Amino acid sequence: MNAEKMRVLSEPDHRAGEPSGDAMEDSADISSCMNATSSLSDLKPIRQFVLSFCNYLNPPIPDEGRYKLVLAATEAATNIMRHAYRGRTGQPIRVVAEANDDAIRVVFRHHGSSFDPANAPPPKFDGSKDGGFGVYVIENCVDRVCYRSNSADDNVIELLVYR
Amino acid sequence: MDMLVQHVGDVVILDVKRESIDANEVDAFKRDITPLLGSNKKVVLDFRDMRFIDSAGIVAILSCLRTVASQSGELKLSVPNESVRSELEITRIHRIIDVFGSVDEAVASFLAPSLVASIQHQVDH
Repeated sequence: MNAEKMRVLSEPDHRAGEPSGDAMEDSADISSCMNATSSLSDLKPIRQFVLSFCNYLNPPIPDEGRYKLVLAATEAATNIMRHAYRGRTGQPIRVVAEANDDAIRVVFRHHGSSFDPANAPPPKFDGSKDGGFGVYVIENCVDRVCYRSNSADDNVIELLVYR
Repeated sequence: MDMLVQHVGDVVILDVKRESIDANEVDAFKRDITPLLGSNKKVVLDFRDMRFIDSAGIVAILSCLRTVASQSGELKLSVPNESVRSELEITRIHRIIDVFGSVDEAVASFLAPSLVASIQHQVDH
């Protein structure tokens, strides 16, 4: 899957208090949410949350697609913890998973700084340099990635895969 | 320590007794494995129990690769889980580290050249 990056910065949030703001939310057949924190120890619960949500879906999504969504979600959460919150632990991250017949979406909402993937250094595939893999992995594991900043401390990362 | 060490000839097999490596677990993984890399020239990382690995884990594997390569050694991976293998392909790790579906295959890839050389030596003499 090739990710289509959507970066809409400073877009007004028309659904204040809701985890995201586009059409799928209205058409989601199923949704679930969890409140996590920016502690790295929350990565596993976040992963289990997304995995459980995927396992609940019928028809099920293929193993590879499920793995890639869980992987992308882990990378997104890690980026929020390490970069948006700059390693500060205990900060809120709200995770919403929703699905309809057409797509599955995982939304991360946090109060850390906004993130522009264009500023992320590209990975080097020859093993000579660490880092830079997170954004690359996300973009290669989901169909669409959207980074949205509703305000200085209200930021969203959305991952979407088509079914 | 979540690691089991075995030797087959001059090949050392490090059985990584973990189901996942993410940013939260990677320091413990590196702490466990770094002393075991030692001066071994032929190293197999056995990920038979691995069900999930993220980019932090990928970076840790690259670190292992550099450590082993710095001693003129060679690192190979045994990764039975197809999902984990697919991630290694996404990050193109499989282009710089040989990845096998089993420990036997990984070990054989080390032993085969020496066996061939041994047989060739016997034929020549």
